[in-house]
Amino acid sequence: MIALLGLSLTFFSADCGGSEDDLVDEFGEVELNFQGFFGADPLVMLANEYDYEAGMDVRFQLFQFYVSEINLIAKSGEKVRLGEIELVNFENIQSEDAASKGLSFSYSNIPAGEYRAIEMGIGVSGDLNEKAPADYPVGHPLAFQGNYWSGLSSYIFTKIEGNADLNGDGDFTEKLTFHIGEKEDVPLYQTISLDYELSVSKDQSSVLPLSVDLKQVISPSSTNFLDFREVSQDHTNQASVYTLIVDNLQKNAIRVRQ
Amino acid sequence: MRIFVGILIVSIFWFACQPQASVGPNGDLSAIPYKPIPLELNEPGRFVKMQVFEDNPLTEAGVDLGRMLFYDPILSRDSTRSCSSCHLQAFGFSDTTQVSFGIENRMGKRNAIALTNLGYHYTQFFWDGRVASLEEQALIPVEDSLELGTTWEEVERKLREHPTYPIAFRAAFGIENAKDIDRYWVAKAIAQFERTFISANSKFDQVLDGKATLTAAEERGRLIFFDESEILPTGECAHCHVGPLLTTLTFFNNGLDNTDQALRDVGLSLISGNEFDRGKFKTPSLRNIALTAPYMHDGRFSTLDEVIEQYNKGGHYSKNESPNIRPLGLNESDKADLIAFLHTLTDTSYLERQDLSNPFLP
Ligand code: HEC
Ligand code: HEC
Repeated sequence: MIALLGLSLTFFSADCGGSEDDLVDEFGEVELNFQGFFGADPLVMLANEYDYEAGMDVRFQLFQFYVSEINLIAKSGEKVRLGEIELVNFENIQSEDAASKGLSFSYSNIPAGEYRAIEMGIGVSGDLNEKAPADYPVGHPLAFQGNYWSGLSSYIFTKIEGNADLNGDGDFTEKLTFHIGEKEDVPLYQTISLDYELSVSKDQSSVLPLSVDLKQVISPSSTNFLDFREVSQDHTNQASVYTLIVDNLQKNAIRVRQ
Repeated sequence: MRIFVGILIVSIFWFACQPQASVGPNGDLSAIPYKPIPLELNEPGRFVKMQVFEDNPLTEAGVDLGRMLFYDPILSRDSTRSCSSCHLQAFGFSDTTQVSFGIENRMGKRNAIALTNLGYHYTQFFWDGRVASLEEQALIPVEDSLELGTTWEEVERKLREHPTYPIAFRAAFGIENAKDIDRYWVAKAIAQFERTFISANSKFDQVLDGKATLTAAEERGRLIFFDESEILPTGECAHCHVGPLLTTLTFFNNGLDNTDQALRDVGLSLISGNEFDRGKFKTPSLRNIALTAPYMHDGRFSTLDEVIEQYNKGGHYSKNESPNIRPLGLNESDKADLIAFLHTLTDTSYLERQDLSNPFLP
């Protein structure tokens, strides 16, 4: 509450001739854009196949994850909330054209001024994960039943589904499903921060371009990757599998797009 | 013809019990008071709240009218079939035949979908998702030559000339004249009625409410269904049949056929034009599933045993087959337990609900 008061104080002080870095009482729009990649290639569901480690190939049908508590950080240090929760879902990105457009989330009424970074929680934040789909109206990212495990009272933070060709014979018959959600004593939520200089001006829309590399998530190196010959499914019960996915999604996969 | 006269007489009797009102000269209805009473649904707390339909708010008179229209063969060409001919309350508002039969016993193409909790379906309707709302859906069967096989002009004429329907449309929607009755009011009334199709009192619901307990077999089946046991095999069912509706309401290829080959019914891709949607169908709710045989869009399976057998094999590989369809390794007792659990999804109170029953029957 005190923090909130502080926030609104800095906000007001902008009018009284503060420094250039302060936000002003004018508003613009910010568009958060995520483009998916698999290494250097655009991430395209179903239509594209990718070389994988150890002579395997892989094709995807679904890649999605939640991001929570998305904030812009102004040069003054002030935080401005963009959104509470979004589902970044590449399921319908089924062509290179769609991949180059990426997934966009727009936020209006963002105070004009200079920003230096974005921060967001990868996963569903603790507070939000206390809730369930019935707490939300239809269409809300947390209302979709398919992303909720009622038995564990947790949302499924991340889903990766697809098929693998284990021996390079062109048959993608190995089915892959990795679903990561919170279990007791397995904290899987983490806030990340990415530097990016963004100016927001009155009545203008500014784009904040991000990339998400699925290769970094499941096969960050030739010695550290999900070996589909050993494991093709996880419901957050094999620590070596879900920690690889979660750690890499949080630390290595999401970057500001150059 | 005799059936038609029969229904006419019954419906006149039904209206006779309603407050006195009559159609004025040239179909004038303005003398009849229009006092809509909003209908509050008793929504189950576990459900994601029903969307508000601002252009078609539920009223008592609207729902009553929709109920009559749903059961009245006046919507068919030869007055033999109504919505209720293929959506039978005793079977969870599904049909008992592999595909449904319309007027003159014309054979339809697909298995009738059981109608439950329709007001909560925020995605598309029909197996292939070809309509976006209940209002739009209700316009279709009347002119489908394999279903009610008539024209809307004809139905509108019959309703406008009917001795009592104009009064019911006045009560529901405040129309000023019988000639204002049109297909869109019909569809709105039916959609209102369908939004009252709430089913949330199965044994499974009672267990969640702490009012009943599952038997050991049912509980094992539940653990298999929801992948909640570290010891029992996983059924993988709840990737798609999940939440209080027992469906994500989205479309999947659940492995019935190899969809990379020629198909009799391409499902969603017919509508979306997307080849990756070949053989995807709307995931049905599993509520009352023990009563809604035959199963699947084409009614290919007549028992739950056949359904489980199919899933246990892991489906047929094709490019867009959901990776959540995989060989399950269920043994005979696992299968029996899973089916025992599916039986707990039956809500007998729904099958007996008076307000959803045929209003023309005494
Ligand atoms: C001749 C049999 C028949 C008649 C008559 C009929 N239906 Fe159906 N109904 C079906 C079949 C078959 C399907 C599935 C068809 C498809 O998906 O292509 C269906 C699907 C539906 C659905 C979609 C449910 C969902 O979950 O997507 C609704 C709603 C529905 N019918 C309501 C009605 C209404 C209202 C009427 C009367 C105006 C009616 N039906 C008349 C056979 C019938
Ligand atoms: C990948 C998603 C998916 C999974 C996993 C799945 N289903 Fe289904 N299920 C569907 C779809 C889609 C249909 C409709 C398919 C069609 O008609 O072509 C369906 C149909 C059914 C039907 C027939 C319903 C009706 O009204 O005709 C039953 C019963 C059923 N599933 C039970 C199960 C059970 C039990 C499991 C677990 C062993 C399971 N399903 C797993 C998606 C799934």
